[in-house]
Order: sequence, then structure tokens, then C-alpha cells
Amino acid sequence: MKHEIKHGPSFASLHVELDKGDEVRTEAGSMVAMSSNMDIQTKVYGSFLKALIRKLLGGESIFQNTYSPKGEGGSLVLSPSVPGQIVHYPLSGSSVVLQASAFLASSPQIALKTKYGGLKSMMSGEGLFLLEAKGTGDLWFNAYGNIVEIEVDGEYVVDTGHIVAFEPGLNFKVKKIGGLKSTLLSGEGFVARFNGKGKLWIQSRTVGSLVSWLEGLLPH
Amino acid sequence: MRIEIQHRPSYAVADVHLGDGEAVISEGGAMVCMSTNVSVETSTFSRGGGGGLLKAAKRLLAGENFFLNKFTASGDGHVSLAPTLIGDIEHIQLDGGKAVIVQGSSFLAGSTGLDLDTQFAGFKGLFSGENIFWIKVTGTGDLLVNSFGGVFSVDVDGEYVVDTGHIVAYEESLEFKPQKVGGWKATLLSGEGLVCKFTGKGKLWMQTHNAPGFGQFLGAKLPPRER
Repeated sequence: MKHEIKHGPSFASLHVELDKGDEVRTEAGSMVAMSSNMDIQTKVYGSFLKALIRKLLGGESIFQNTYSPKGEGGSLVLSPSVPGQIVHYPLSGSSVVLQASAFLASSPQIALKTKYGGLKSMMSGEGLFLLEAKGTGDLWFNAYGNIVEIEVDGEYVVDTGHIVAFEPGLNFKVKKIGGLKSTLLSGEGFVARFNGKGKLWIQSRTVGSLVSWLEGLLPH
Repeated sequence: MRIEIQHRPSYAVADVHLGDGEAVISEGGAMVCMSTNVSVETSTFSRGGGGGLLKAAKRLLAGENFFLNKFTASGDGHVSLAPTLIGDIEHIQLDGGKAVIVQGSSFLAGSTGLDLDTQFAGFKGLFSGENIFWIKVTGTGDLLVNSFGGVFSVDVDGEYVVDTGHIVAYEESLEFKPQKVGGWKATLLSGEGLVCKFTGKGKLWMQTHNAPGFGQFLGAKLPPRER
């Protein structure tokens, strides 16, 4: 299987060339184009209840699709629903934590487990809900805007709405940004304070900010 | 005429350099800036200086503007054109051979040697998630089409499948039919639903993202419109 991420960072799409026997699991609705010999299987990933929780809290779809070429190899083009960058992260028995809506595609051998971001993350207004991807194979995740990779060693602070993914060597707690005044008036509110050692990926924009900007422009 | 496309792929602008007396016809509202020796004429053009109310009315149905703008240079001049939505622009050269069918809202501009005719795509247009009216471009000259997101092309020889909402343009030697993405379960639950299956031999241009899809995603997060 070969893959290429094109048109990034603003409108990244994932172009995959599958050999005979290869399979790719994708987020529902992400297929743009494909060769006509592609077989599609639609399944609930994990238990239906967990999938429903993922849907309600994480905005992730209940169903996922697995594509495999019939006969010879085939090609598949995927794009996330929101414009932005895609990152390829190969796993070899390791794991990585994704913000739930960041999942785009993976090898079918990668297991996805729902993780709860904690009550505090809910209070932060971002509805932070996490997915743990574990196993051996390819993983692709996406974000709104560009994706910035940060090597954290020690502590680092990120606005909760900008978290895309992080390695399991990192942990975070949701905190107020500062005193009461800056928490209420800085426009930042709650932030995630990371500590540990590992890679952290953040997105350069948030959908929430775009939505509230648009809201203000709508006619009453 | 010389065309340079800048700021690709997210915020593409087409800089059209015109020689003395040369003209380009664009979608209304596309002009960003131009040299002062370029004059604008707004009409219901279909070809060159000609035109017709009928064609203009059909264009309206295609989601395009009723009026098109013709930019003519006296002496060397230039005009910069940009589509409404963020994304890329593709420059397609027509040599008088194969016509190119452009999805209604993807037409940006064309040189005066091109003939634009709006066609009813019928039910397949409706199911394609695009406009039910498409623009058939024939003749010789330069055609500019725009995409929401990046634009990429595939030389189809045989069959190829495109999700609804991602077609930008295709050569008329191809044709497509809407069909289910797979079995009924996949069609109803995969989030893919109907797709367009192309057959034949020719070039097909697609856009990486789906503007109505993104609009619905944002729309669902916005407060309901009050009546």
C-alpha cells in the first residue's frame, strides 16, 4: 500500500494506492473518489453503545467503512469533512491518543478505544472526547486548519479547542488559564496543561471559533 | 492571452494578461483587480460579443449569474479573477476537439473563442449532489474552472467512481450514472450514499472537498433561523 497526502495544509486529501489484499478503514463520508473495483463494508466499530457515545460526544460517526480492492489493486481518495491538514502516524505496537473527530483512516488492525477526557474537559466547552488508537499499521488523522507538531518535555499549555493528538507519554489536566479575570475576559477560558514527554499535535484553527464568528453575522 | 494562477491551492487567483483588443469573459463578481486600460461590459454573452436571453436564463438555472462580464484590454492589460469560495483554479485548454462539461458552480472564466451552453443534466444531475444544470464548453481557447479545496484530475479509461459533490468538470467522451456505493447497508449507513460512476475514456477533474457538505456541517452548529 502506498499513500500520499496532497493539497495540504488547507485542503489536504489522502490518496491511497491499495494492492491486492490491502484494506483501509475510514471515517464515514470521507470518500471522494475511488477505482470502480473497490468493495465497501460498513460496520459499527466496537459495541453499538460505545459507538453511540462516540457519536454524541465526539462527533465521530457510528459507522465506519472498510475499503478493499476486488481482483487487482485499486485507488482511493479521502478527504475529511472540514478543510485542513492530514498527518500520517505509523504505529508499531504503540498507541496514540486522538481528539475524537480527528480520526480519518487507519489499517483495519488498529484498535480504537474511546476515552473520556474528564468532567473538566466537558466544562471547558469543547466536549473533549478522546480515542486511543493502538496496534501495528497506518493511522491518518486530520484537523481544521494546519497541524503543528510539538515535542513536549516537561510542561506545555494548549487551548483545549486546539488539541488534535498526543503520544501516551503525555498527560494533561484542564485548568483555568490564570486568575479569574483573565479566565473570564482573556477569551481563552480553559486550557490543557500537558506534562510528560512525547509529541503533541495541535490545530491552527478551531471550528468553534468559526461558528461563533458566523453566528454573529446571521440575520435576526 | 497569458494566464498565471497564484496563491494555489487554497486561495487561488487567476491573473489574466491580455494583449491589445483581447478579452476574457468571467462569472459576475469574480474581478479582484485590473489595470485601468481594461474596460468592462456586462451582458448575457454566450460567445464572443453575441449572447442571448435564453442562454442567460439557462445559466441562472445552473446556479451561475444571469450576466457575465467581458473584460477587454486596449493595449496590454491584465485582470485578476477569483472565485467566491476558497479553493483552487484549474486552467483547461480547449483545442476545438472534445467539449468539456463543467459543473454549474465551477465555471470561473473563459476566452472569447469558447461557446458556453447550459444543459439540463436531468435526474443524474440531481442525484449527483451537484447542480441539475451543467455548462457545456466548446470551441478553442482557455477555460478556468474553480474548486472548493484542491483540484485533481484522473485520466479515466474504463470506469471510475466519484462521490457526489466532488465533480468539477469532465470531457464529453466520458459519461456518468449515479449509483449506490455498495450494498444497501453501505449505501444507507456508510455516509457515502450515492456515487457517480464514470465510464469511457477522457479526463475528469474533481475537487478535494464538498462545499455543501461543509456548509451543512457548519449549519448544524448554528442557531436555527427565526421565522
